[in-house]
Amino acid sequence: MITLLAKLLKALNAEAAPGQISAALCLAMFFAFMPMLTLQHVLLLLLVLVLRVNITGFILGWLIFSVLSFLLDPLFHRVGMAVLSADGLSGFWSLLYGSGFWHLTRFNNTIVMGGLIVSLVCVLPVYFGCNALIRRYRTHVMTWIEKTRIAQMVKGSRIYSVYKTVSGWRGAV
Amino acid sequence: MTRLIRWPGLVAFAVIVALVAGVWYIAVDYFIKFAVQSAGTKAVGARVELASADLSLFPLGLELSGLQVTNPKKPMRNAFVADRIRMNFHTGDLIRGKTVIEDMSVNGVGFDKPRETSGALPEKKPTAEEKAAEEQKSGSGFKLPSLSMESPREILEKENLATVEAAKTLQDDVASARQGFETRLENLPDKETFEKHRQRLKELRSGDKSGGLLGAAGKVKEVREVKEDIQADLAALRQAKKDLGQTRSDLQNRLADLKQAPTRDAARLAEKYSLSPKGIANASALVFGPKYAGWVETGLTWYQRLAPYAAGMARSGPEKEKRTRGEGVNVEFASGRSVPEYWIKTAKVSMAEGGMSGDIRDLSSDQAALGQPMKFAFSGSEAAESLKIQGRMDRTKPGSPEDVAEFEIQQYPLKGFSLLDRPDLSISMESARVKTATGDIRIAGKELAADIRAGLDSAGFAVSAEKADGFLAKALADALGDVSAFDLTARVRGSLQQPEIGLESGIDNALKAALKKTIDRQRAELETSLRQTISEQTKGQIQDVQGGFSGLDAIEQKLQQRLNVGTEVMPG
Repeated sequence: MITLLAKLLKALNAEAAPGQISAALCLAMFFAFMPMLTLQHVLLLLLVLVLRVNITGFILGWLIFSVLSFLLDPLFHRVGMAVLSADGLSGFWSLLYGSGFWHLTRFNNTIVMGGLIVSLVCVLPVYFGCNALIRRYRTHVMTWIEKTRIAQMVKGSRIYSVYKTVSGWRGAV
Repeated sequence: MTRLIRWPGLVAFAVIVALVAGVWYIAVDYFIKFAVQSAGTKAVGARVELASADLSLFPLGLELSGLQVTNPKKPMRNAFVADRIRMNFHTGDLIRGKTVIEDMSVNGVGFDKPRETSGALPEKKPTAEEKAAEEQKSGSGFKLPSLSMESPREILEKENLATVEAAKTLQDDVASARQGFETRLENLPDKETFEKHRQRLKELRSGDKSGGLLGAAGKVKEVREVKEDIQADLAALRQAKKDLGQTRSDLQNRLADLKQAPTRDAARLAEKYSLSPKGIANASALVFGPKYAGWVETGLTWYQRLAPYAAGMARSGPEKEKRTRGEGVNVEFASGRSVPEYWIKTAKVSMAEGGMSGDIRDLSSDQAALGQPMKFAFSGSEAAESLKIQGRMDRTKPGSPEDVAEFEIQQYPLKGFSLLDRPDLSISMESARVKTATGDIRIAGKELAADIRAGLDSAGFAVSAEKADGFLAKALADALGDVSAFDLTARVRGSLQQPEIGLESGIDNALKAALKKTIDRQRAELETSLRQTISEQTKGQIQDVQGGFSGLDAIEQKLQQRLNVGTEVMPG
């Protein structure tokens, strides 16, 4: 049982390079900022599982960005409404609207469109910002955490030793 | 490439998708059942139940079985039941978020069927709006006059009598007048005053005559002055007597009026407590009105409850203005064709009993976008020789909505048809046959107009009353016993909230004559007993008032005596 749990933890914590964690957070942002089930969510799930990104980072990011999404709902609605009612784009939207396939994306919903636009605008800043933060964290904060009593207790536990054996992990990268 | 791709993730994705699809397929039927039940219950205000729901993917369709819609006003009865509802969806439109049902069949439809368990929801306190609507409604139906006969004593126990009030007022006024004249009498010249005048005159006549001519002239002047004093005193007395006479006359008139007050009180109370002939001005409304008003009320309640769904009245425009957090707004764009959110193209409906069937076309959430009103047409020839109903709910022009229905019934038998069921009186039509009945109903906006004409024959009525000596029941039974064929014209005008219902029938005159005779007799009897009882109760008070007049008489006598004395003293 412990081995199974350790293998799950290994899978979740694999691909732990800063770029892989940041990519997972960016995908989580797209996933959470469009708060309805759409075709994009299926594609995002496929990307999360198929691309070598950190899955724990994705789950954690999804939770954080979901809270943020709730708070930013009025912004998404306003942005989405502005884009969907832009005169220059009405022909394009009408073309998509006439097709059943594009309805699966729910592109005509204001918060889906708004969330997508905001995610697209934020993706590069979030990616590079997270990268920088993770590096700083590992250099400064991680070393300090490893010295705390709690970290010492976790490291002394059986599950941690099994996890180390299964993953071949020897410490922080 | 392998540094970027995690191939086992593809398997994990396939497994997750398969799992989600499997769970959805297993749970979707239960989810649909739950959704239908909760949405239906919310819309109707009483329990809506579904035995099962079955979603099929190829072709995309849904089958609902055992639908029961409780009547909110009679929780032990179902207002509507359907054995099986089968519908086929347009897949492309469903992906576009539009529920378009290409064809639908509804079998085993029934109305007003008994339930095994109560379908009432836990009671909730009515809102102020609901209370106001209920109060408004209460005035819309037929109000039957009270049929209970109270005894004069019971009536007088709870009523204030004008006789008693008038007697009390008059008694006070007589006493006040007596008091006033007694006070005035004290200040008027009396016997003593006139005796002084007499003495002065005597002295002047029998006094010293040595004054010569001048002395005589002075005495004449003095006598004249005394005469003037006597005349002034007599005038004051005469004025007082005149005033007393006037007051007495006024009070006498009021006393005479007071003696008539019991008669007036009796008439007023008899009018209030007996069934007035005005109450039977429309005798057929007395017999058929409550049932008809009940139908109208039930029909309008269901119309207002279901019309928003049947004719898309709930939809205000192409775009919802209000939104809830996390839902956003779906912006509509012009595309090849405009499709409403839901649209049942054709629904074929067949009744469980009576052999009636028909179809409903273009039931949609947005008739203006569709450009088609909802139409329905039903017919049957099992329960009646011919039964047809057709109509439309037209919201294609949102500014001027119009709903129209027409029906025609030929040779429809009625049996054990309850018309009035009150604790004190019940009337039922044991058997009858609707020879022909036609009707048209039109609702334009909130304005309502309905006209129904029916001809019945082979009718047999049963009238029963709680009290064995129920005079009205007897009169009705006698009058209705002779009726076997009659016509009936019903009409409704006004608004949906305040319908004005009218009924007329060929049996009006026969019923009215029979009822009027009985009611007049009952009213006369009640009035006589009331008059006697009131007279007995107020006799003492009226006698007291009469007694008060003796005081005025005494004052008048005193005034007359003083006048007699004064006249006697006055020199010729």
